[in-house]
Amino acid sequence: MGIIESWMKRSRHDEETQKDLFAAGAQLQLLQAATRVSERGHRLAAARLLRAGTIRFHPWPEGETALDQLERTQARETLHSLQVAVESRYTAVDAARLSAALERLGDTSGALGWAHAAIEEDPCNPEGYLAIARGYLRRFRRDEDAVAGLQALRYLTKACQLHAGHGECLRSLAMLLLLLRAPSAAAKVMRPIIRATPSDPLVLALESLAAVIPPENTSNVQELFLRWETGAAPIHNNDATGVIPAPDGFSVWELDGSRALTACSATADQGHELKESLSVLAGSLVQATARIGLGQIGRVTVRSSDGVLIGLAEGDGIIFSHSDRPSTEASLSRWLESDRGREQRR
Amino acid sequence: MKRLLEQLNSTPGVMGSMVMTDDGIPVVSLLGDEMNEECVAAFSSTVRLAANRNAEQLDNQHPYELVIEAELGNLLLIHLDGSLLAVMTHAGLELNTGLLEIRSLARRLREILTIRTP
Repeated sequence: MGIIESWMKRSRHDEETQKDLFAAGAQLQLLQAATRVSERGHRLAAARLLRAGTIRFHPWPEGETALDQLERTQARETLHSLQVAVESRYTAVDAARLSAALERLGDTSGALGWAHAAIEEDPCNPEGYLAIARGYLRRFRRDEDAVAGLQALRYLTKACQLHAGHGECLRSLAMLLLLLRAPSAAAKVMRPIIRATPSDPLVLALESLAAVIPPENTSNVQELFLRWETGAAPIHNNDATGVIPAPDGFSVWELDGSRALTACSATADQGHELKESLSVLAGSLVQATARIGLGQIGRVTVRSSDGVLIGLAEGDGIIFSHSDRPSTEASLSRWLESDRGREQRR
Repeated sequence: MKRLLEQLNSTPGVMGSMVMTDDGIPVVSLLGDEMNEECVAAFSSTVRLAANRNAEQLDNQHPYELVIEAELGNLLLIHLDGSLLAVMTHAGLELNTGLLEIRSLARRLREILTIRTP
């Protein structure tokens, strides 16, 4: 057998063996494999295996504990050299690495400080944004905290924009999408990394996890967050949509507490995209006012130079009304606040 | 920028304010102790994105201003070039007159941002 054939055969074999470690119920097998690799002195490889396992089997407390110990040990061992590197040459990459080590050791403010320093040093380098995103992503996974998830998404998106094919950015983004139960979106993100590093444990874990989650029916990431938070998706029933009589020039949509469209005016756009984006706006408003500490949403006014959209909370739902003439805002508002004649004529 | 936010916060009824990038990354914030910067940034940006998507479909453009009125206060989101100004006010603020002052300071912030990003 030639060198190339034997290399290819071994690589394929390794890949198959590693794939088995991410099969359903293989947690113990993976933990034992990681321990063996670590005992042989390959702690980085062991950490990669465990990191991949915690993604595949999330939530997996035993794996998280083992990974935490390993990563903390590594962070403690490398901290001094990272500090020296930052002091001697101070690049964005060094600052981001130091931030990651501090984050692993629990020094959150120090980690954030160095990540921001990395961004300030080189705002076009994705490493600083990635360092911040990593912390948020960990918090999102560990605490199921929506704020951390949203922030992770912002920083990862920024990092991916700055370096389109960055492997770690793509892996982290795919991981976030899978946590949001969006395997189709994750598959698109993973395509380049599957091509580049097909036997990477993280890639194998992400692929294996994506295969067991039912495909999502939306490409709107905000909708995914709302579904993740509420545990439900709105069901728009076209046949049961009521009619709201509205003056010429006003379009009206009424959404119930589950963010589903229940009624609209005759001329209102009922396309899937608009229904979804109104539903997302309603959900985001309810979520935002409550989480920011402003209590229940009462009303929203969205002004653009070519139109105005007013939303009014009603019971659990929201009724939106739009006019493409900003000058009619006052009459739109008055009409919306009146009884609108809906109950008599619907 | 921080001085302008301080000025903004001294407007009667204003509880706090912050400037963030279009993608929701905080730039400067002067929020009260009870308000969480990352929470305000995350949700302001989320609402703004959702409103943008609606306005793109209904008006074919992005909104320049969002006023959210809730039971315990209001959140105003004003588009600056490439950034977003979020202002939290008390629920009792008279929005017509209060907004005039806030818009005027937003204009000055926009000028600063335009100078910084030629």
